[in-house]
Amino acid sequence: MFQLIINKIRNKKLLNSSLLAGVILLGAFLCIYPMFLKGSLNRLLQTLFTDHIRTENEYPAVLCRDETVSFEQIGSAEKSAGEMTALGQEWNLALGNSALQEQQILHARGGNATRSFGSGSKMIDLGFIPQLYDHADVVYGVPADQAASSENAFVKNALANGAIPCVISQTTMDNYELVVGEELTIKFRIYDDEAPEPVFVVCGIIEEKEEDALFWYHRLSEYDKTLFFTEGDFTKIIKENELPEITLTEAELFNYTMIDSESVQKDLQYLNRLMKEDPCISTNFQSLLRSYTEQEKEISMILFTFELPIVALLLLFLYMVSGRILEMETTEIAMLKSRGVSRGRIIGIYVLQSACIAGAGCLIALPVGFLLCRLAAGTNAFLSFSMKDTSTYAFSWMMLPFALIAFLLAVLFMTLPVISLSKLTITDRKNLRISVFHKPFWEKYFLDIILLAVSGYLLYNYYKQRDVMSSTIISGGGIDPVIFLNSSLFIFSCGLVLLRLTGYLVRLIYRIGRKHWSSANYIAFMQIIRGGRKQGFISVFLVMTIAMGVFNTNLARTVNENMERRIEYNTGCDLQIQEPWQLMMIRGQTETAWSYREPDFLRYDVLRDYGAQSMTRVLRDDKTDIIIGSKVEKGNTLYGIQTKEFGETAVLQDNVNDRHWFYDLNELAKDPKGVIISSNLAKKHGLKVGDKLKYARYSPISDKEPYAETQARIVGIVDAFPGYESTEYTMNAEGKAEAGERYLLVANYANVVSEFTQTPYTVWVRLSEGADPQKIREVLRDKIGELKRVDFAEEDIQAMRDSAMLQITNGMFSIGFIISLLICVIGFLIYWVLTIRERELLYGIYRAMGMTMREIVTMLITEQVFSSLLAALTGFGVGALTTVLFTRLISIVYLPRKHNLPLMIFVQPYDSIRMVVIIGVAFAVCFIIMRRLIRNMNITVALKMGED
Amino acid sequence: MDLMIETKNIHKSFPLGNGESLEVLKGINLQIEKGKLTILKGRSGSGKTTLLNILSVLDEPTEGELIIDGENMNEAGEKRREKIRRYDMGFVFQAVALVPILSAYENVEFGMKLADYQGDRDQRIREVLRIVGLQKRMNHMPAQLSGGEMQRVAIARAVGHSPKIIFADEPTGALDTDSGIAVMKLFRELVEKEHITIVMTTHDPNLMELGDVVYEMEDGDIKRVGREEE
Repeated sequence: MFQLIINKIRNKKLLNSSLLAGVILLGAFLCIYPMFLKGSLNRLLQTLFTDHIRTENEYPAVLCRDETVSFEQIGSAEKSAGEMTALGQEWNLALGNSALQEQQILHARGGNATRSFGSGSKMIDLGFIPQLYDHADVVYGVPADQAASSENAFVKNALANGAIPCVISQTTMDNYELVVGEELTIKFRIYDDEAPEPVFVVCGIIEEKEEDALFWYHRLSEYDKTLFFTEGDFTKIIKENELPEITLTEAELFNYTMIDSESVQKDLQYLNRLMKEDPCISTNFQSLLRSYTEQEKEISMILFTFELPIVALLLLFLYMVSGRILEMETTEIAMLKSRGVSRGRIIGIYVLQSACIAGAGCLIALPVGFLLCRLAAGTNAFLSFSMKDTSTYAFSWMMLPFALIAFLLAVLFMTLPVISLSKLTITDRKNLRISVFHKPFWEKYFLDIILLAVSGYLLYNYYKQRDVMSSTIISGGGIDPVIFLNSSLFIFSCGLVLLRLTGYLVRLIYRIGRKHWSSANYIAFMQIIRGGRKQGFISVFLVMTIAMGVFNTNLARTVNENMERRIEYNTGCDLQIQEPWQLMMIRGQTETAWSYREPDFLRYDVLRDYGAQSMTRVLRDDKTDIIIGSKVEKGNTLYGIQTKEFGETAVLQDNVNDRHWFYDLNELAKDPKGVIISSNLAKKHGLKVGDKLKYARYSPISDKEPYAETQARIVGIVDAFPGYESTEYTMNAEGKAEAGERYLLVANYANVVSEFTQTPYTVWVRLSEGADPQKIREVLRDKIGELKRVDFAEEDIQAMRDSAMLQITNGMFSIGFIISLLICVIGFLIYWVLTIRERELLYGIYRAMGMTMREIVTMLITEQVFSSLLAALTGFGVGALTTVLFTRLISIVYLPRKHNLPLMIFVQPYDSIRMVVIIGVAFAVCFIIMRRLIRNMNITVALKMGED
Repeated sequence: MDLMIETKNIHKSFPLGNGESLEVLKGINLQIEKGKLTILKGRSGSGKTTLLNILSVLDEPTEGELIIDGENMNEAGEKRREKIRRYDMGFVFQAVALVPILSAYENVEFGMKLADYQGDRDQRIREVLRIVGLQKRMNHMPAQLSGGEMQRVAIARAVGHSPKIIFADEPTGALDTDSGIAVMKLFRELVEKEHITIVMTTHDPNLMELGDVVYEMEDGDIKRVGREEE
C-alpha cells in the first residue's frame, strides 16, 4: 500500500510538489502565529516598561513594602534589615526573577531641632540606609562611620562633646542651609523634663554616585530633612530616646527584561494576592501588567484576523490542486469502485497519500515558519524589510501544535474532493460527463451577490457606528475582528461578482465580433466562455491575491504614513526639550508670591555643533481661559512663540490650513498684541480677523482664579498648528472616552512674558538630516544636565513602527502578500501547464488540421488576456474599491482619535508598479513555459499521446 | 490513371535510445488514385499510422519522395505543408478527436472556418451533418454523444470544407462492429457523392470489401492485396 502511494506521488511530481509547497506555506503561516504572537507580546511588554520609564521617570518593575512598626517589635536596625532582605528573597523566588537591586531605608520621625549656627528650629527625621556609602559619594566632609577622622574643627569638637555624627543630602543642606560641623539638638520627648537631648553633628554632605543607578529608586532628594546615621547610632538613638515608631521601606527592583508574555499571568496573580494579603505592599507594575493583559487579547485577535484570509486562500489552493490530481485519477477511482473496492478503502488510500505529503510539508514548515516570522518581524513598513534586531521573536513550543493543526487541515482539504468522487462508478462517471458546462455553484446560486450584500450591509453599519467604535477603542475596549474580516469578505464576494460580470463582458465581446474572429480567437473565446470551474478557480485566485495585495498595501501605507504625520504634527518639530524649572515661592502676609528661575537658553547653542539647525523657545500653557465678551472658554492651549524662530524650527504639513501658516506668523509678528486662534473657536463664537478677545492664565500654585489677563486682537485663524490638537478625550463616569473641543491661542512670546511673567517653556529644535539622537542625548546630559523631557520625533516614529500592533500589521500583510503571490504563481503555472498537457490531443488535432504555431500562440494569448489578464485587472479594481471603502474604517483601529490632520489615504504608485511587475513576471514566465511546451510538441507524438 | 498521391521509395526510421535506429518504413512505393477509397491494412506495429502520417504531411520521411496532386512535398516548406493540410485535407483520428467545448455543429463549423470555406457555411454544415445522420443532434456537445456519433461528427468535420483527401487513422478502432460498418458506408457514400479521395487504415478484415483499393502492410513493406485486382 505504502509503495503504491509513493508511486502515485512520484507519477504526478509537478502536482504533488505544488501540494507540498502549499502545505509548507500553510504550516509555516500557521506556525508564525504562536511565534509572532509571543514575540509581539514580549515587545509590547517591554514597550510598556520602557514607556513607563519615559513617562513616569522611574524604574518600572518595583515591589515595595512600607511598614511603620514599633521599634520593640524589631529590636535593632540590623535585624529589621535582615528581615526585609528575607522578604525580598521570597518575592524573588515567587516571581522567578532575581531582583537587580534592593533598597532598604529605615526611617523615623524626629522633631524640632535647634541649630548651632543658624537661628530657629528645623523639623528633622532620622534615617539609616544599609550600604549607603557603596552608592553615595561624600561630596564634602566625611562619612558618618569615619567621623572620627574628620579634620573639621567643629566636627571634632562636637564629637568630643558626645555628639552623634550624621550625613545629609544636598537637598537637606540647601533647604535648611546646614553646613558641615553644624550641631542639631533635639528633644524627642518634649513633655518629659528628664528626657535626654541628643546632639547630632553633620559630618558630611552626600549625593548619589550615579543619578540613574537602580539603587536610588527612592532618591536622596526625597529625604530633604533626614539625618543619616550608622546602623549602630541609629539603633542607639531609637532605643535611648524610646522613639515609638519606625518606618521600614523595602524596594525590590526586578529585572523587567526577564518578565515575558508567558510569565505575566503568573506574576500578576502573585502581585494581586500579595497586595490583597498585605496592605503595606505597593507596586508600580501591577497596572502595567493589567494593561498588558488587556492589549494581549486584542493583539492575538488581530493576528488571528490577519491570518484567517491567507489560511483560507491556502486551503483553497490545496483543495484546487488536490482536485486537479483527482480529476486525472477519476477513471482509476471509478474503476476501483466498480471492482468492488469499498469507498472507505478508497478514501483511506487518499488520506494516507495526503498524510504523507502533509507530514513532510509540516516538518519543513517549522523552520520555514521561523524564518518567515523573523522576516515579518523585520519589516518597517509594508514589504519594507530591515535588518533590525528580531531576537524577541524566538522559537515557541506552541509552534508544534500549530504545525499539527496545519497537518490536519491539509489532510482534510486534500482529501475532501475524493469524498464525492469515491461515490462514482464508471457508469456514474459517464453519466456525469454528459451534463457538461454547469455553472460554478456560486454563480448558479448567486452566492457572490448574497455575500456582497452581507459585506455591504456590515460596512454600512460599521460606518454608522464609527464614533462609537473610536470611543470604545480609545477607552481601551476591544476591537471587533469582523471589521477586518469584512474587508476580506468584500474582496472575495466583489471579486466573484466582477468575475461574473467579466464573463458577461467576454460573451458580449465575442458576440460583437463573432463574424470577424479568427479561428484561433474563436476557439479561445469558446474556451473562456465554456471553460468551466477550473478557469474560475484560477481567476478567483488571481482576483483575491491581487485585490488583497493592493488593499493591504494601501491600508498599511495609509496607517503608517498617517501615524508618522500625526507624530510629526504633535511633536511640531524634530526635537522638544523640557527642563525642570525651579519654582520659588515667597510667603507674604496675605498671599504667596511665586516666580520661576529661567535656565540659560544660550546653553542650547552647543547643539548647533551636533546637527541643530535652529531652535526656539515655545511657551505652552494648556490651562488658559479665553474670554469672549461675557463667555469664558476654560482649559485651552496658549502658545507664546517668537515668530521668526518658530517658523524656522517648527514643522507643519502643507495643505492643512486654508493658506500657508507663515502668512499667519507674519501677521502675528506685525502686531505685538495679536493672536492666532483656532478655527473651531472662531466658528463657535463667530470670530473673525480683527476681532478682540481676552485670555487669562492660572498660577502654578493655585487654579482657583486666574492671576492675570490680557486683551488681544485676532490676526489669523488656523485649522492646524504645530503640536495643537483640537480634540481632547476625557473619560466619563462609565469609563467611556468622550471627545471635547480644545481651542488654540498663539501669541507673541514677549507679550505673554510681559503680561504673565516668565513661566516654563519648551525648547524646540530643528535638526539637520543625519543628526544622531543618541549623540544629542549625551550632549544634553553632559552640557545641560537633568531634563524633564527629551522628545525626538524620529525616535517616536521608530517606536511607532516597532509597536506590536503596527509590527503585526506590516509583518503579516507583507508575509501574507508574499505567500498569496507565491501560491497564485504556482496555481497559475499548474493551471496552464496542466491545461496544455490536457489539451495535447486538441493541439495535435489543431496542428493536423493546419493551424499554424502562431495561431495556437494567438489562441493562448487571447485566452490569457480575457481570462487571466482580465482577472488580474479585476483584482486591481477590487483592491482599489476596497481601499476606497474600507481604509478609512479600518484605520480607526490604529488611529481612533480625531485629529487636526484629516486621515489621508496614501496610494504609492510604486507599490502598484511593483505588484504589476511581479504579476507580469509571473505571467511572462508562465507564457514562456507554455510556449516552449507547445513549440516542442510534435504533432504525431501529440496525437499518439492524446489517443493514449 | 489520375493520381492523388504517389510515393517513391519512402523510408522512415526512428532513433532508439541506444544510438541505433528503428526502420519502420522500408522503401514504400505507393500510388493512390483520385476519388477512391484506399485502405491500408495490417497488424499493429506494421507501420500503417506512420505511413498515413507521412502521406498526410504530418510527418516527414527519412528518405524518399512524396508527391501530392502533382506537387513534390520534399520541396514544400512547413508553411506550405500547413496550408495543404488546412485547405486540401481532412482528418479522422482513431481517438474521438472533437473539440469538447464545441457542439457538433460548431465542431464542423470550426473545420470550415480554418479552411476559410467560402460557400454558405450554415447550409453546408447542415448538409454534412445530415449525410452523417446527425442533423437532429447538431447542438449536442461531444460528451452527450455516443462513440459512433462522435466519430460521425469527426467525419462531418473532415468533409465540411470539401477537401481533396480525407485521411482516417483506424476510424472504426474504437467503435462496435455496427457503428464501424456505418462509418465505412458513410465513407463509401462520400467517395461516390463528393468524389473525395479517402485513405484509411484499419486492421478489421470485415471492412476490406468497402474499399476500392486495399494495401497490406507488413514489417515496413507494402503490397497491394485486393479489390481492383479482383
